[in-house]
Amino acid sequence: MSAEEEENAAELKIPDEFLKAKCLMNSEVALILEHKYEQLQQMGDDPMNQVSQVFEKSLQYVKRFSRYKNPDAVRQVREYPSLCVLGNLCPETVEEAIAMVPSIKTRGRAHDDEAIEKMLNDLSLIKKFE
Amino acid sequence: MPRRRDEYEDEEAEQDEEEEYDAADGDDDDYDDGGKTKRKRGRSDFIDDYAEEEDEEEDDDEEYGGGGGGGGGGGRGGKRNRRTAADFFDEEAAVDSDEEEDEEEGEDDFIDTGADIPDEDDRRIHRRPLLPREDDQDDVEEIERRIAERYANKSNNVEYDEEATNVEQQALLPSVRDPKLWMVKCAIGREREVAVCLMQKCIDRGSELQIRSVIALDHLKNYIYIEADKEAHVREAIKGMRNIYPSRIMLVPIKEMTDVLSVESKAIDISRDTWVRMKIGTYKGDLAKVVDVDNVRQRATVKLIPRIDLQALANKLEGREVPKKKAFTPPARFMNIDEARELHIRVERRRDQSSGDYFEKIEGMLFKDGFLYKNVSLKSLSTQNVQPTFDELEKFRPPGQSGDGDMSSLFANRKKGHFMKGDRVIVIKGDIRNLKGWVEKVEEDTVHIKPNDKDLPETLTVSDKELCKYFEPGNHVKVVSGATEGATGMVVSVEGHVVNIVSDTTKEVLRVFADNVVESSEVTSGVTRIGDYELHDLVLLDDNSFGVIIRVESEALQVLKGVPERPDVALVRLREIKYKIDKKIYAKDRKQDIISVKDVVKILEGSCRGKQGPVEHIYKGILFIYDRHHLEHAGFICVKSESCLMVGGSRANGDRNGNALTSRFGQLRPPPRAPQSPMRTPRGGPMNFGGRHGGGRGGRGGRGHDALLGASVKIRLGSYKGCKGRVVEVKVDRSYISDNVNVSTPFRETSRYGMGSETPMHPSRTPLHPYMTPMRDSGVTPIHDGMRTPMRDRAWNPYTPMSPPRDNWEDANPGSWGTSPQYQPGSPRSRPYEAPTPGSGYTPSVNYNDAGTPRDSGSAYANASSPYLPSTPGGQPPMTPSSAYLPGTPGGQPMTPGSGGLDMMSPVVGADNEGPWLLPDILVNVRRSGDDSAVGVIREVLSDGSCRVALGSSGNGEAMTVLPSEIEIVAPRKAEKIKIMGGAHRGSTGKLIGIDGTDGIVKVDDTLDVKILDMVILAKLVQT
Amino acid sequence: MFFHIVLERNMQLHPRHFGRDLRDKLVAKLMKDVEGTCSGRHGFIVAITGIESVGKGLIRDGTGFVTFPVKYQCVVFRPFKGEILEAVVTMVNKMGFFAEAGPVQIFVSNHLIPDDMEFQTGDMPNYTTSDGSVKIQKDSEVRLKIIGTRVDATEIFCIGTIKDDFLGVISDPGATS
Repeated sequence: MSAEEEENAAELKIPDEFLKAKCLMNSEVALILEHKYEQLQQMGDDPMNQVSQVFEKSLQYVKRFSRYKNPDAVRQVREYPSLCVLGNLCPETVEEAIAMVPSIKTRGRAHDDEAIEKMLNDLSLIKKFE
Repeated sequence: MPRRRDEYEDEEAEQDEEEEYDAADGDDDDYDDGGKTKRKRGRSDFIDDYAEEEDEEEDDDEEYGGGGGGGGGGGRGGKRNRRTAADFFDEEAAVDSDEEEDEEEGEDDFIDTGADIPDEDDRRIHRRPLLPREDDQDDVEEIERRIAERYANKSNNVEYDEEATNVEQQALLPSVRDPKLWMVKCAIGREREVAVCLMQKCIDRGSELQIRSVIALDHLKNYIYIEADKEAHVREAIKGMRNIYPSRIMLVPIKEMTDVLSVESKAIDISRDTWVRMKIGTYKGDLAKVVDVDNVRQRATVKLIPRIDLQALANKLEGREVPKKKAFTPPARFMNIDEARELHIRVERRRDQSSGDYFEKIEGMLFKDGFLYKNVSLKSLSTQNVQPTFDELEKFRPPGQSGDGDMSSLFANRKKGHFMKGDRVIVIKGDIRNLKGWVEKVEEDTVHIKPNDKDLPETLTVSDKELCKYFEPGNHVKVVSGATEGATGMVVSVEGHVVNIVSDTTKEVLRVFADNVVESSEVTSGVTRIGDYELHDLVLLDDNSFGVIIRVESEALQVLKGVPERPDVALVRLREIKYKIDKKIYAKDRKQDIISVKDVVKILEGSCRGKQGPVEHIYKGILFIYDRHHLEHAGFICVKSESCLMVGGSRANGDRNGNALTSRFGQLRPPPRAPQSPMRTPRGGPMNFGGRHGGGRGGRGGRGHDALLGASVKIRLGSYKGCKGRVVEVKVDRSYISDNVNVSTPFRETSRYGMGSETPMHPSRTPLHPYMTPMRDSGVTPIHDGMRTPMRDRAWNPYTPMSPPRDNWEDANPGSWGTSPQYQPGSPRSRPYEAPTPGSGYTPSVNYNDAGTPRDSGSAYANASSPYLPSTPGGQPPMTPSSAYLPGTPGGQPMTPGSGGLDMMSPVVGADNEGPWLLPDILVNVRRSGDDSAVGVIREVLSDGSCRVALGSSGNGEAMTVLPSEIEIVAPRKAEKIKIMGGAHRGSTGKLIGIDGTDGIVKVDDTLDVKILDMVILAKLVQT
Repeated sequence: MFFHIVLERNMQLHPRHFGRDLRDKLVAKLMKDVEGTCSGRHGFIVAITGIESVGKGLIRDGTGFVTFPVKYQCVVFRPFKGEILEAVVTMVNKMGFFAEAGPVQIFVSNHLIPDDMEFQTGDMPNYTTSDGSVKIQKDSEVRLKIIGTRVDATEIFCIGTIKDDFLGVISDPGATS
């Protein structure tokens, strides 16, 4: 394996199909999975016995790590031109945000520190008022 | 240090000689030092020794030792005395052999030597010892002349050039014209002495002694070799000598002559700083490092971690009784001198004369820095494939010294082609130390690397000794050598040359040398198998417990035992394992759904509650579930099958045969009835007394699709011989058949049924009932036949174990026959019997019979099925059910209690278990009470077990939903397309290419395999 | 990281399922076949959220099975090297600790735990800083960075590090309880 092929999420070196795909925040995944879970529930029987372990684990995980519990808030965050990683991790400072997602600076998305800070502020506001 | 100090006859003569050729050697000085270090083995030793001798001349004793690089190790003290003519001979032999070896080993060494040593000198050295010396007046020229004379007609031997090619070397091999080698017997231990004597004789007598040379080999006791043209010469030479036996003179065949003088090639590998292992003694298997080699005496000084019991040593020294406990070997640890002193062991401190190092001497053993320096024979060292493990090397590092020093010695062991293009490497020596890069190209000893650094675009050439493989955390690697060879894992950290890897299988951290690792995407566990047993196999142990192998160690296995209450891991040796359990067994989960291997289940109770994973093994109702999130016991969890529930497959598995889909649907819908086929359960289990496949057969018979059905037959054999009747039902009893019934003839059984059905016969038979009745017990018999079967079995197979119910039967039987209400002439033939069939209860497969249906509803049935649980095939006493059921029996039947009980069961079967074994697209007979049967095709199997059946032989007709109990499978005929209803091939289609008794020979469509399957699980396929 | 992604799969269906509810059958089979599986490329397929299209079926010679190319949307979870995520600690031992982020198991070796954190044995084995202020034990939530992934047929296993800025414990169950 040479360096060129190596994936590195920090530099957004991930397979193309994922770059094109929509990445989801934990909160969003939680909404989707819970919805599905409810559907199963309506079919009677204990849905926990029907879903795969992957589903179950994922559901537990996203519920635990959802930053935004309120569907509306999730929608709001989604609309915000941010990265879902930030939505997942909710960094507090610009520095932290950059450490978490180095690509917000490098990908030419015109995120200078101020813009990032503003974004973080908005995110925390949404969280506060959800 | 023990040294051989043989006494030689004539010490003085030797002295003389030494002086003589020392003097003659003046011009050899130049290469003493230069050549020494590089050369190995015999030749170099010879030269070294030679050089030393010169030193000896000029210097005093002290300094003499320092001159010899390749010679003997510490304790050179004795060397001088030892330097005798005997050695001389020895060396000569070694040199000769060296030449021989050159031939074998190619030119490398040869040329090497040639480069270092001027031809003339070399030759001269070799030759010189051969000379018979009379006095010290001979000068070099004289010697040369004589030699030339001696070998005049074998010029080849003398004059060959150092640059000789292989071909020329070949020419050196002895031919018929050369002097022969004679093997002469002498006294044991006197070989050298004899040789020296001969030499002396030669010196004394001069040329009149016609032998050419004498060879005494260290490894050959009892014999010496004498080179001479004729045996007579040999005899002449040895005449009158002590210790030599002229009676035994043997000619060495020409071909073997070279072997005589070849040095064992093994010894070659040992050089300073090599890692070796001890072969014998207390230190057997221990790693040692060679400090010094003495090829002449075939000894080496090695450095070991001592295994010395100081206390025992102290005791011994003080003359106390030492308890002889040979069994235990003291652990290896560094010698602590202070500790020894405390125990009043005398410690001498002395300086080694050769190296100038100080050693502590205890009881004749030498210690330095805690290591034991031991002089051992080369033969006691194993040099092949010595791969020190990390731990060993770690230990070998003297306290307080960093490990890097030792590493370089490891690199010496590298195989060729160690680096490959694309390897990531780091430079460990020189100016560009710590530079990382990729290997671009590998040449002999140099490696071209492309630096990682963008500022260094050019490839660099580096010696492979200066490189080490480099890995980054996160790399997935495979260990290619060393103790953990074969393991794979991910690198978590790198410390110098050591990488820490998280093993893929054990999730443990392994410490390995970067050198022993290659990048790889392969996932293996290292050792996964001992003998016949492999990781994750289910095995039966000595004490009849069983478990799953969760870890394979070098000589033992860790087994997670099949104890559901708590995880019980046992360390088991190979011999404690009886065998591998490799059965297809099924178990039932809490909802009575049948679990087979690979089904995903969820654990509902116990400490592992909530975990889920695929079932890896089933045995005796115990499941072994593999949950990769379970970190202990390699992910295996052992639970009772009843504590589990099947869940939707998170694993796409193909092995669940056709069933998978339906079962999934079942789960998606509200009533998740297990659509598992009871047929899959091992019918052959406990119940089969009468015949191997009794149960299954019955089912088929019940369907009434045998060609014989309804035919009038005559019984040809047996006690009913001569009786006639109509075949009501066909039941094929394997054992029966094997008991001489020709397949083509109507079975007795059949006819027997006949008796039942045919009124006229009936009376006559009644008396017989008692006999037959027992058969029912056999439990084996399918339900349909229930009534009859049991009897048959008994009657015909008197061997069938008697079960308690049987008695009942006997009594009851007559009654049941007579009384059974169903026994109406008007009803479909099979029916009447079925209704009363008490026996049928035993076999679940029977269920298909309509007979059962009316009654089935009872909850009691559920229980009834349990005996059939696949998980407990062996254990189930076939009879048990009957008694168990008794209480539940709604009875209503005019039968005796015993029979009544049985009766009950038959319905049971019908209720729960049948559904599953129906599959779509098969031709069936639909029978609803009151109606005549109609042919139809199953279109769909619903989750509750009932089926959508389209009527008509090709399924064009009206569709209806039918209970499984109302369905009979239409048995296929030869050459018809079939569908397999049970077993491993369930769901597959095929063609019935033949029928052999109760077995159908089937060609499976998918695989084109030809299988022999029970006819019962074959159904006629209707293609749509 | 979770993604919503469109994947394609060729579904084989036996003709017996043909009929009005063929599509349902396909979907049900798809769910059964696909949900909960894992592939190296796409990671864990957590849930199917919709069907984009069902292509034209192709009858396979010989078997009668029909192959339908089905495009479906699904939620996948795919860990990447270099990704930072949060996870729940599931087991702590002297070699490090295991954590779970959804279906993925992550091992953080003690080499990748800050040097100032030391392993403490006991009922609740943990890694604790010398001043005791930070503690990693079972059920702790940690933020970690994935440095390596290993993919096999049924799972993805990762190794992670918390030896970096802003990584480490985000909640400590011991502190709250």
